[in-house]
Amino acid sequence: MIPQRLFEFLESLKPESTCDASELTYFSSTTDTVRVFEGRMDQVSFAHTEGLGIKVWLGDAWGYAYTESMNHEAFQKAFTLAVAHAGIASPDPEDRPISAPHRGAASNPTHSPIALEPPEMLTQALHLEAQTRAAHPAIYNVTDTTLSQCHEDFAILNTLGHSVCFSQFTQGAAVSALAKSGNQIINPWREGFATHAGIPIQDMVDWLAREVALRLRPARVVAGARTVIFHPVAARQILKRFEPVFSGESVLHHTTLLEGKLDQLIASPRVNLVDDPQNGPVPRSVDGDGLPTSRLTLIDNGRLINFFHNDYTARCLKATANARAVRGLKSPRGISSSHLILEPGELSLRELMRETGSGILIMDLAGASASPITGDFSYSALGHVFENGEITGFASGFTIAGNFLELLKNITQVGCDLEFEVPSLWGACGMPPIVVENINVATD
Amino acid sequence: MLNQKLIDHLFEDARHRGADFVEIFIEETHGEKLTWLDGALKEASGGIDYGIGLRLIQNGQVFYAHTSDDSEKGMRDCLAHATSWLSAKDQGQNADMPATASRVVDMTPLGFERPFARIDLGRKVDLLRCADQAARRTHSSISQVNTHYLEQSQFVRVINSEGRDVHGSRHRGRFQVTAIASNGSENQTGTESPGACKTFEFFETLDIEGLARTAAERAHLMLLSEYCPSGNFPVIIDKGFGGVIFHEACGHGLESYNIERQASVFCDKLGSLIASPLVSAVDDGTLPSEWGSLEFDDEGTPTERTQLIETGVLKTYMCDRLGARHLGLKSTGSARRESYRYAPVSRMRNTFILPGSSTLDEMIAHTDLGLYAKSLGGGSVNTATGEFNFAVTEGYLIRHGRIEKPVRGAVLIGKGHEVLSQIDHVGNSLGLAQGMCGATSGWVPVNVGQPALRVSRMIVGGRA
Repeated sequence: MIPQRLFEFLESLKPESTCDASELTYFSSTTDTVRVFEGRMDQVSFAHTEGLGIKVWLGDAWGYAYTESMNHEAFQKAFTLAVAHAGIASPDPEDRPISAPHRGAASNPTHSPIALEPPEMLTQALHLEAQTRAAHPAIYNVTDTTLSQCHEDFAILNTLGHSVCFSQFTQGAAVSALAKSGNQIINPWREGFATHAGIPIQDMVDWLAREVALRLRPARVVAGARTVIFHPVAARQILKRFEPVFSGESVLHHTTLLEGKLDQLIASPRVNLVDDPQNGPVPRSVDGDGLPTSRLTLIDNGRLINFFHNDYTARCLKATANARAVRGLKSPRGISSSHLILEPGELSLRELMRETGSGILIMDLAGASASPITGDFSYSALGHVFENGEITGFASGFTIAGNFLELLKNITQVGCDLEFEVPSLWGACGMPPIVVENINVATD
Repeated sequence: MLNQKLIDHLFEDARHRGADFVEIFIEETHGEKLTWLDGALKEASGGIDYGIGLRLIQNGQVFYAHTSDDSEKGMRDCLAHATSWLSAKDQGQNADMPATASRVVDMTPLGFERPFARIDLGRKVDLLRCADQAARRTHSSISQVNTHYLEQSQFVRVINSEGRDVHGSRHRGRFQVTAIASNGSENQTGTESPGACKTFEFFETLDIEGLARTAAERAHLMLLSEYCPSGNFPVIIDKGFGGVIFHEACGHGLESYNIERQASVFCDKLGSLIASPLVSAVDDGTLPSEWGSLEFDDEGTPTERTQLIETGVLKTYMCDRLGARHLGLKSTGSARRESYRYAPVSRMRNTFILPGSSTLDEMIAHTDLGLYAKSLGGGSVNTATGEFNFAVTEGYLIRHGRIEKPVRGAVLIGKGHEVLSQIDHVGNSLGLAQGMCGATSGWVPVNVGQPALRVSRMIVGGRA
């Protein structure tokens, strides 16, 4: 439900003749976080913040300002600043307030049944740390065990009568362990998020125990053009980094290599990339413009058939709008997916390794050398070496390099084990494992 | 509004409930961002961040609450949430931080002046237009230019139960220009993004056209370059942003937050040789007007110049209050946070390797086959394993003591403690460069820096 004071703020603008239209975006979040270390509470934090963004239009130009002080004086200051910004902005006739009145509330309940009281959060965090410490005898330190939950509210309303709001609740945990054998130190970490059954603590611990056992067997990777399997975590890291290539904003500003490639084959026929806001960890029926969302296919059997658009880019490019707007308190106009997934295939990760025979199972990536503008990437990587379908050892200290568009074309198999990341207000990306040929591997 | 009476009440209530230490961090930050894209002012936005962080410490445990609601009810709710945890405290342990009286340090006068606000918006827009035009004039391959003007005035007050009451302002400006070069089938980028802890005079002294040309020339050059070969060979890292190697390879591992948790390869190494004897390094928060400088840190402690490494020997860690207490060291004024939304932890400020005696030409001449990394992008590190990485945004292959050709797409990886020992040349001319560092307490502005230096062997990840 939209707080009444927002309508009062908006109402207070109507006598103003200084602008032609106004729009408010409202953000509120309440967060509890517990971090434990060595069997005791290390830090807990509680946060409650609100913020209000004000966008105004003067003719064809618009300006924006925000405030975190939710009183009339601060609101008026922000309004004045937004008007000043509109006064210097270049005319942008395609950026208009949402005119079709659309009123409603959407999405999750205000209070989730899985929300925990603080003492229970501490209990679960201590349990996660203790279980992790006991998961394998080589674990000598659990450096970071964190549990957090967040309730967020978003609302958008304008002087043309458009008003929509939604709420999200997310709850997640993360744990990072250090283990060693001789001089070899490894640092596996795992995140999980709550479903109706709560946070999957035992799954997280079991996963870490398996990884520690596997990672303490050192192996070397062979440099050269190799076939690799990306674990869902690593596959997500790549897809999220390169998501902007699918944005209408990138098409508009000529910064995507996919410009002009609609209806062309840009990926392996095994690739079906879809975004479904209403099905996933944080279902949402409206976007950041407050417009209704629906499932969208970006790549259909390897063919690019859509870009992500908000109301603005769709107008500019004379494309069909598909309600992928996102907003931030400091970023009034953006585009993003909600539940972007590569549709899973048939085979499990184990079956993918058997079918591939020999290669590297990439578990994690690090590095900032990946550009959505050029498509090139070069990451520091770590992962398992496998031969004849079986893991034989673990390697770090190597790099993988390639180009995102080439990677899409070189996907030879898509696994069935879809894993989502810990969700945020606007969604969560999910990936199954993928097999990719011809990735350039470098090592010493 | 938060007033002295309410502050006194919060302190009294927190102590009554068993807190050993109480701190209130009040922040008001005014920011403005102008974006020029496609030859037009695409976005003009700005606003005010306002909030309060309340930190209670009991037996070394931290209870942090923050809110943007500074009404009496908002603050009392905030305190109630924090103290509700105190009631679940570990009983029977000694207080970790006994309250001691301390002098009040008044760093700058009150009265939150905003010098940026006196500058006409049109002058700021002119800077963007100038950069756009200069970049596009540089070469016909420049297909897009994206420029940002960023200003920020942060006002903070830190009050704690030891009698410290510090307030002051931090004004920062940054200008960023990114040029994209295209040949129709490929794109490459070049970026320049200087910043300083200054008001508008920073922008007035910038060579805007020069910055834009540099960004555009790099984008064009990289378009013409080949992919970097992979391998393990000598790497010469140029001065300025090359200092990101020390930031990632070593700096994060010397923050007390990671040392306390035994999550750094530099734990228990004080007094030990951890780097080549050619390496001496400092973290200096006092450099006038530099991007990472602060008069006092986010716990209200005056900043200082901290000698981290002297001729290869580790001298100290960068400490916040809790870290210093835990490690038996003194606070180095290194507690930082992005905003009131974060509890402070030890972080870097202006971190750099001190000059040596070599020249860049000598280093190149002494390299038979290697990489000259002239410009670097961002990187990251796992402090527990020491494994780091960073991107080369402008590189050149060296053969037989000479620069042979430009190369692109390289990433440098290694282990910090190993790479520090493999530095065999340190240049004689120091350069600093600006970046944003992300870690536990959010994103904070930092300078990285070094003279040009050579690492005898490094893993270079490339595609050729």
